[in-house]
Amino acid sequence: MIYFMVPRKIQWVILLAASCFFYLCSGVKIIFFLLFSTATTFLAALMLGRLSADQKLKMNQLSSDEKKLVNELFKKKKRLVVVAALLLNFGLLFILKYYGFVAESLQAALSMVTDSFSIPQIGILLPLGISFYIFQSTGYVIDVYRGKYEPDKNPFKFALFVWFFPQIVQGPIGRHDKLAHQLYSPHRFDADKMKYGLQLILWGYFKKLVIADRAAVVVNQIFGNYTDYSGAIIFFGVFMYSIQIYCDFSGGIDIARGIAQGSGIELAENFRRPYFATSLSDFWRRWHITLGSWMRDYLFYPISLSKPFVKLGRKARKRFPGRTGKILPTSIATFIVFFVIGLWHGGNWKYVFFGLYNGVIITFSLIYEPTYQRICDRLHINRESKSWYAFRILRTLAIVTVGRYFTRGNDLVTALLMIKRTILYFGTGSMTAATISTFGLSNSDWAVLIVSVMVMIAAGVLEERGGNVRVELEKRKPILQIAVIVIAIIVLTAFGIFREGYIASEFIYRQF
Amino acid sequence: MSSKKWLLAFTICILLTAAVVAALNWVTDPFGVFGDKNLNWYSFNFTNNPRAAKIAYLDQHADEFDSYLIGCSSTSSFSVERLNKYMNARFYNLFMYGADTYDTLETARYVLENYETRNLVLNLSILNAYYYNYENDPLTDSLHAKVDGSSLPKFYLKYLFANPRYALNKVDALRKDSYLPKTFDVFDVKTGSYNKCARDIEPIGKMPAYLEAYPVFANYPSASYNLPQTENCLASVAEIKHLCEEKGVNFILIFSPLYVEHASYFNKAEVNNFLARLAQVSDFWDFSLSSVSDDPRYFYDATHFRNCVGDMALARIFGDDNTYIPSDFGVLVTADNAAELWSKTRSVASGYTAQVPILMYHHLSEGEASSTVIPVKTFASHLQALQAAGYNTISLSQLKSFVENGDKLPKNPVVITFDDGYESNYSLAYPLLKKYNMKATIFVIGSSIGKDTYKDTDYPITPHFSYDQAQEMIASGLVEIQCHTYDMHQWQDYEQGVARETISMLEGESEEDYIAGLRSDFEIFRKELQTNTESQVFAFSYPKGEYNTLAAVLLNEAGITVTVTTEPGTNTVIKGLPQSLLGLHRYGVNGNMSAAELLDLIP
Amino acid sequence: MDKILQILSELRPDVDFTKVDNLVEDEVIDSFDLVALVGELCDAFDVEIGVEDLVPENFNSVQSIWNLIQVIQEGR
Repeated sequence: MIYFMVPRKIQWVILLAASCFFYLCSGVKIIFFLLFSTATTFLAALMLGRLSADQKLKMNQLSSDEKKLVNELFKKKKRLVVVAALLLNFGLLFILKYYGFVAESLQAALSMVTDSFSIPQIGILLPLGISFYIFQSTGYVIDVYRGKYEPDKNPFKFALFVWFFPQIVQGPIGRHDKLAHQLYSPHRFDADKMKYGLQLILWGYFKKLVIADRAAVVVNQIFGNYTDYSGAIIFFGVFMYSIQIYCDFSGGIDIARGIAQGSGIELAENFRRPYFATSLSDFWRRWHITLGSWMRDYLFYPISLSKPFVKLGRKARKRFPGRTGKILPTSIATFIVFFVIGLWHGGNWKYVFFGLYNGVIITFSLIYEPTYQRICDRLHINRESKSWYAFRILRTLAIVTVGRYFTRGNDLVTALLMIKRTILYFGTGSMTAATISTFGLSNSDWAVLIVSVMVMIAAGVLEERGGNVRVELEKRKPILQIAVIVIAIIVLTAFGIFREGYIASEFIYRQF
Repeated sequence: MSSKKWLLAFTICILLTAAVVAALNWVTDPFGVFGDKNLNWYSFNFTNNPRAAKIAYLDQHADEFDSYLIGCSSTSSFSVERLNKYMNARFYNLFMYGADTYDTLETARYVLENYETRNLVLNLSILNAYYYNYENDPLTDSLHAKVDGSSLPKFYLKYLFANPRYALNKVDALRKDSYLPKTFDVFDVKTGSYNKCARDIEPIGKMPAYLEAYPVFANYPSASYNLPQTENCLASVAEIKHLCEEKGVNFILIFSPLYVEHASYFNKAEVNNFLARLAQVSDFWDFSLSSVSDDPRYFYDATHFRNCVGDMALARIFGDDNTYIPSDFGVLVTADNAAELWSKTRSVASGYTAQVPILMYHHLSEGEASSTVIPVKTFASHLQALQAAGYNTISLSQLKSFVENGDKLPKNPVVITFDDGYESNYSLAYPLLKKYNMKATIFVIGSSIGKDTYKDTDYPITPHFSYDQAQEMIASGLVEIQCHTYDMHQWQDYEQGVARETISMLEGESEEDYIAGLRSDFEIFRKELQTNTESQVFAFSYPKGEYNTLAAVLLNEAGITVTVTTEPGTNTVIKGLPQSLLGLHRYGVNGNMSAAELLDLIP
Repeated sequence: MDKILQILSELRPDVDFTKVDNLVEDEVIDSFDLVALVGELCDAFDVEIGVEDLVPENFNSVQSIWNLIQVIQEGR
């Protein structure tokens, strides 16, 4: 509210102040990391900008022979700056996030040779959202390096771009050219946008509190005691985890986007109904979009177009004429990207495996696409039919769900054990009422969960068909719209918002 | 609808919802902070948050009390009644589950400043040196704002807009409420202690059965704790003592009993240091390690000692000779004897349990045997055989005083009981008992005493002995007459309506009616027996061996401390553990059973 | 231009490239296609297409691809 009351010129200051306040509330330590990352990327971009300007100036004065030389020189300098900025930032991220993992793995490897050497362990708690703002600010440096846009001159405005509080916890990872000017420019109070923002927030909370928090109970129970359950139930648990993680993550993003939208700022979209994806690569274009596109623009393209890769591509095309030759370099790049995405999730072998799993499937589907088509033709499958579409969605869902064994399982070994159990002891008959009651949700909670998931699916289907829930709602009578508000608030109050502040007396009573 | 209108509607909805939540919390008051004027159910409020609700309650009732017990949940096991008796005071148990020394200090400060106080008893658990000012749930674990001095408006707002689930749960619980404590109302509001009536009537006996019922002791989790909060704990205790001295309040400090495996979590040297320094702060009674610690049956769970252990501790402090106290249990620690408390070698306790078989007879006859009818000759042979085999018959009173007062039992004790009170017990069994100088207990049905027809009818039944005959037997010192209900062992054949064959609840009977019925049945029995024989009722034989928790609780409240069933088996009775006298097993003696078979039956 | 069309059709026989002009933003071609396309273009026209050129605007239609190649060939 204050945001709209202050003079328009300093609205962005309010946003910055609000963001600062947010961090002050969540601990002082994080500010140090934020400042470090913001300062390095800001200065790097500024230097890059100055170098580019110098470069242009000199170019105009020189002959074409000298031009090439100077060009190379500036290129080298710029590369140095960008590499330094990236090393500093990812170095920080690496130390915070992966040091333990690498140290442990190294130690294990070393212990086969010698016992006398030990790598020291450091215990640092991961600061809030660190990988998100590091990705966001490094993306900016790279863009400036590529000459996509000019660097920001005002350090405080740039700080707002990195620090903007709704997006800090879990993204979306914003792009400077899309986001920054929105943050800096003045906004008038707009009832439409405020309404949309509030609706998005409600929807986000609905997914997070009503669905995800309930699903989490079941997931924790099954994953925590997987040896007690048959394979079918483990699979069900993993499937519930798919629901939980989607609702939790996308709900959080919706809340962030809703808050921003209320003040007239559009954050990037991060999810586009990923569970309606028809293939795994389609899924990755719909799931965590801003991370995917970050990886594409700043990792996949540079790797694919790097000199060694281009050479490799030429050779491959010569040696294997046809598909394989064309796909080989892309596949290798894909592998690297998924390896990094896997690592991004956290420093643990299970994530590495998760990345490789995705890489393998995508590569194989690329290589065997013609074979696949032939099989389809042979079987006379109508590839335009609805059932084929549904089959592809379910198939993708299954593939994604299998991947979740790795992301949610305690470690790689546990995940593999769980998969083994799923296959060897499937036992479909074990889904009895007695088993379900061990999951920890009451009947009413199950009802709420099932109805809510159905509401979400219905909204998803509508949007997949090009519709828009919001627009549909606006067409209805006012009384109906008010009814929706009332229902939403009641549902959130009764089944959601207050859930976190509630402890059933049984739990208190462990000690009685 | 325009967006502006939508926003307006949205705002109104939010405000309305907030108003509804606030109204609900105000009216039902699940934490008792608003006075709970509508439901007045503090047992529920205490359960939700004893810290806030107990203070809210005492603010209204402080004039009823002049002394307070403070500490964490194990403090509940110190009986307010006993303290009142020993100290001639009016105690309130102001313990709070999970309380650390910070909570305790702030509570003590509040009590001493606001309530008229004569005595303050502080129970310290070892965990008080482990955590301090522990971060807690803001609704269920926070202190009352009056106690910790935080903002009162904030405090009330917090509860006004608390999760409505608490309010709805209270309404829901109201529907499920029962005479017995449920998970949502575990406190006894009048004393402030946990209402453990249902847990304190669980029969306890043999160790294997106990470990099966309490698997935590069979496989005690291992852990290792330091005592990082030693300084804070000592400083807080010193402060409490100082406050008491300032106000002239009598201060008693207790270091509570620990289960031996829980004690092993802690480093001995560290505990020795803590206790030695505690003695510098104040004299205290140390109950932490003793023979009681070695037996899990004295504990409710991994970290909580039973009420009976609290009773023994108070008896030790106040020198009560009528209560059994293990000789190594409890020592007054002063600065002089505080060194190396946990390093002393402890003797292994023995002789505090006894194996006691109980025999169950019914009717005797001079004729044929049947499953429940014993030929008098057979009975005589049983008595002879028992005597020859070195068994000593004891009365249930002896069993009771073994457990309660720690009195000795003869070697190879055995208890003989008769159910129903048939005249044959007097005419056939009693002479034999006299002849062999053996003891027995007869459980009589009050309504059929002296009758040979079914009550209020002419239907002939096996004759029952009269009060005079009962009195004659009692006077011999060999026989005790105890209770087999007044009229809750009916025969369906002779009754008009639905017969009450056992003390179980009838179908469709309300809890209220059931409680009233059971209480009055027992009360009539007690009065009649007392007027006719002057004997006190303390033992009860469940008709057909059937009983339930509620019945057991009600009988316990009525003064029944020994109950017997028809389940076969030997009993383990344990000194200081009254629950070992409950639900005792009995070997039913068959009419065709030879003396040899009987001896084979009992160990 | 025809050469570009030919490469595109070989890459994705299922699309009629003369009719669409929002190839990237409408996700007609994905990042894999794009990388493969760039590889082919580099070979065919003997140009070096850098990462900085990989923006949707440059690949949205056959025309825009043609423009990009001409700019590069002219040496910027």
